[in-house]
Amino acid sequence: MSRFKTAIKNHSLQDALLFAVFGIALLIHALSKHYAQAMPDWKMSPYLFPLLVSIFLILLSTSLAADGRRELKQSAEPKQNEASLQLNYGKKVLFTVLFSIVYYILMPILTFIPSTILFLTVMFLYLGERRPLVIGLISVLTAVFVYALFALGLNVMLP
Amino acid sequence: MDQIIGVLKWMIQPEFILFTFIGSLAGLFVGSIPGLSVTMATALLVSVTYSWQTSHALATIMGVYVVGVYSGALSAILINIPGAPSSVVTTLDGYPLAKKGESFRALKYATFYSFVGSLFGLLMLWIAAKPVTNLALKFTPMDYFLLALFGLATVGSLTTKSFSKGLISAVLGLILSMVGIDSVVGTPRLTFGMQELNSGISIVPALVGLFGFSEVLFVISNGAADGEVAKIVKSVVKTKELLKHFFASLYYCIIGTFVGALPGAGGPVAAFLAYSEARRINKNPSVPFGEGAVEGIVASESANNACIGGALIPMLTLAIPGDAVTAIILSVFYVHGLRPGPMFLMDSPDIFEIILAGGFLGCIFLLLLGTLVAPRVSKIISVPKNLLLPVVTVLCVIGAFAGNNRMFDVALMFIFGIIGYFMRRRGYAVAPMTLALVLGNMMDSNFRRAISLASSESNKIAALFGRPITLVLLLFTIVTLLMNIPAIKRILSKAKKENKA
Amino acid sequence: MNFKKLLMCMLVFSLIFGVVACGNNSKDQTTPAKIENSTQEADKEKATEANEESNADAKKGNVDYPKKSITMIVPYGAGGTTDLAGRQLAIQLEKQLGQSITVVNQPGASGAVGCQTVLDAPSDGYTVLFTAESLGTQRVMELSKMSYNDFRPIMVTVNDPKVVVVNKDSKYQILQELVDDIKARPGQVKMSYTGPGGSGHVQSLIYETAGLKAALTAYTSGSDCIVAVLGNQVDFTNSNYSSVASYIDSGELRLLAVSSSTPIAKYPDVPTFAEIVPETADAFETPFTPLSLLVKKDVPQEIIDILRDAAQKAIQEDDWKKFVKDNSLEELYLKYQTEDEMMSFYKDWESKVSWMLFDAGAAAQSPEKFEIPKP
Repeated sequence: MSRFKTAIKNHSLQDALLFAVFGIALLIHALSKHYAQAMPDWKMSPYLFPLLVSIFLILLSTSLAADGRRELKQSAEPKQNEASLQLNYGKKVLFTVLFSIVYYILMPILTFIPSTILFLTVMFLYLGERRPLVIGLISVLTAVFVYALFALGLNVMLP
Repeated sequence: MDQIIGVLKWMIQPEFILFTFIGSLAGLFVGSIPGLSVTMATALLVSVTYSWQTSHALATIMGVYVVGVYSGALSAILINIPGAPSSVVTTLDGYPLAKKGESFRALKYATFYSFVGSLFGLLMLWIAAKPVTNLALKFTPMDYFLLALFGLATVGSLTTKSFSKGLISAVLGLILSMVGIDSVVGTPRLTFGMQELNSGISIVPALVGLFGFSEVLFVISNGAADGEVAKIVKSVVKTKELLKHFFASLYYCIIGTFVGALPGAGGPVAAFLAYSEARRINKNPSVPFGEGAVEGIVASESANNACIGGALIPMLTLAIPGDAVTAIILSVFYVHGLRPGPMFLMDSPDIFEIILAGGFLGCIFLLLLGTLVAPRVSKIISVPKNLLLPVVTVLCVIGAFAGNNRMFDVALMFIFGIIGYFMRRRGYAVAPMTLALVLGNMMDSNFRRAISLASSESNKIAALFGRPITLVLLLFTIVTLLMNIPAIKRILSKAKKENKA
Repeated sequence: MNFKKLLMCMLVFSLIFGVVACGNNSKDQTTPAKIENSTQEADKEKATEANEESNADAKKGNVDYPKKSITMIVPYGAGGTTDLAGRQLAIQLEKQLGQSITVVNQPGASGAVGCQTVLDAPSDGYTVLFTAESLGTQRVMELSKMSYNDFRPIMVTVNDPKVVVVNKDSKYQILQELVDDIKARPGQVKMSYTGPGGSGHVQSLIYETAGLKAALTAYTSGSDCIVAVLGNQVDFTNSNYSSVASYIDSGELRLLAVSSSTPIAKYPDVPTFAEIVPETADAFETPFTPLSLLVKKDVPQEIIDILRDAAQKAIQEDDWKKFVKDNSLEELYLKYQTEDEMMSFYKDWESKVSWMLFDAGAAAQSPEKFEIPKP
């Protein structure tokens, strides 16, 4: 049981399983789509290549699993320090992604310049910048400069 | 002889110089901003220059092209976001070197060897257009497929410690490249009914996400955003030191020019092949490859710039563009009433002279602007990360959006950023995935073409592999793949030890 | 230090801005056809504006057309026959209409992407379509739901004759030798084409009606098909004459036959395909790559009249006549002059080609489903 537990925690084995499942799903998808075509003809079928690639992916995931087994043999203890590091900063990454998603949603609503200023200000504050002048100046300047350059200069239709 | 005088005549015409310079400046600028590609800039220039004289239009575009390809290295080195796919390789050694505070040295090498590469490629275009065309015509679909496969296998083995991880990254890229309307039959595949996916996954949002946004997340997750600043090391690069790699770089230039002349392969493949050759040649680099070896920068930059001249060859002689930029230059030709083709170089020597003159001037401006700009921008690396990262994120968003003007691409960019972040955390390099995305379509269609061509022959194996080019490529690919299988690797290293003993 | 950086950025920026501004100025001075890689959305935006304007006009009841520049969508890449002919026609039309015409290439999905853009644009006549034949087969090929019925023809312009070419080192000196070889080794003589449903495919289906079965390999574009012949990957290809003319002149390719009812003016000795294989004579009567200028179906009659009038004058221009002669194009507008003639030409074409594709198993949908009668 404990061997199983350490195996579950091994990254390579986790990934191998994920990719194997993914490969098999693609294989099934490619096969089913191929036979659903009007004229199943292998040499020109759009699903020939996905099929090959999925087989390759399954092979690679077994090779990755082999790597994982070797790692298990070499060190019974999974590395603890890496996990703790991820805990500390994982939250920060999560928040950055969240801010970005909010930015993405806000952009069509608020238009480009306000949403960018908002996003930059929030990010600066979150990453520990405290000088208000720096924050204000850089966020406004970046937003306006980028807008002027792309929307006016390069004909990019920014929201 | 007449032609040399003709080219020189153009090169000393003030107006011509001015237009090339404007183009070069624009190229420097768009090339270095991630997401703003040379392709986009040329496309924009086409609509601006349609009413200009042909010579002015071509001068501007050559300036953008030559300097734009180079300046992709700037952002690759300084913020680890390649300005275009062909600068992906430059990040491998350029960014680590910059992180050590030696950004100036990295830029200096990139500038000088980009110059060498561009010059070499253009010279090849001048003197060897015909033979290179004939050689390129000998490449069959199977060869294109194998070349791409070989490229992916090398990348897989170069960028990560674990070969299977490198290849998995490439394979995932291949799967993603297949999304969209299939180019051979014209039916959608792997789109799962999403209209937005019909045109496929554009390379720019993927590139910007995988390198740019994932880098932002990665730096934050490592806690480097808390105000740690890389110190700039004052370094003087001696000319002698700089020139040490000159002869090796000529070899990378040959690779670059030739791969550039193969339609569809282009810059990224050339850079990767040159990089793997660099690793083979330089057994004792200054520092290990991947940790800031200048040899890597030399290989990548001379090869991807040599591609310029190479890509122009099939465009002029066959009217087949070698890459996305030459595809647009081709339409400039059509707009100006020029019809490239087998007779073009003989029928319109004046246009050929203009292209060469514009290219050479572009090279000079590359060197000039590069030397001027490098010491100034090299300090970007010392901007505090908590200020730099949010701005980079905004640039990523813009870059993803600008190519196609659609928000869907921005969403794609974020998704790729998150994927890239997890890949990095688990030790998968993102470079193979990027290259696979670029090459996937070409591999797929050429593979099917090769099968289709061979199926009407009686001896199918001979039809597939029975040509010298194909055999050599096949051999290379198989050797690369085999050499990296762990079991074989162990046997080889054992044998080496025994030999030494 | 930060200031220096900013200053430099500003400098570069202003210079680029300068380039763009220069370009805009010159745009106003002259008005030849131009290329723009703008996107669908950008077009739509422009189009909505235009719609409002035209609605206002309609209320007033006067037709003041054209008041601003017209967008011509070419649903294929730059440099192909359709693109070149479209650009040439645009230049001549500009002279008649007194407004500039922007030619926009929108390739993708055998022309479906570009055609869709025109349909999505408002019916104000400021977005016109210049397309080759693929519009007629999109429904049966399941590429889109569009057909010629969704548009109204301004003019059926020209047909670019298809020709059969081989490499200069090929063992086939004349068409008879190629035909004999295909008959001797059915399914083994290799030909490159642009994929199922394309014009090259239709040609090969006609060969098959005469018992000539070649081994087909799909390439991405017409020029890739030519390179496949140049590189000896395939034995022959059929291509539009205008895109191989320079290779024939330079001797890299050998012209074996013309797949049309009349020989090419420059090479009167080269036979038509039907002279060697008489079974195909009937099929090759049809012009297979008709290039047409179309607008959306509900564009007001007055605007259609203005455009048609301009097009009639445009084809009288010397430059256009020279273009037609240089590329040996077949002038279809001499044959189909009224709208009824054009529409019945499309109907015939559609039924002939759709059924041919369907019977060969290449079409995904039966033409019956779209009420296309059997020829």
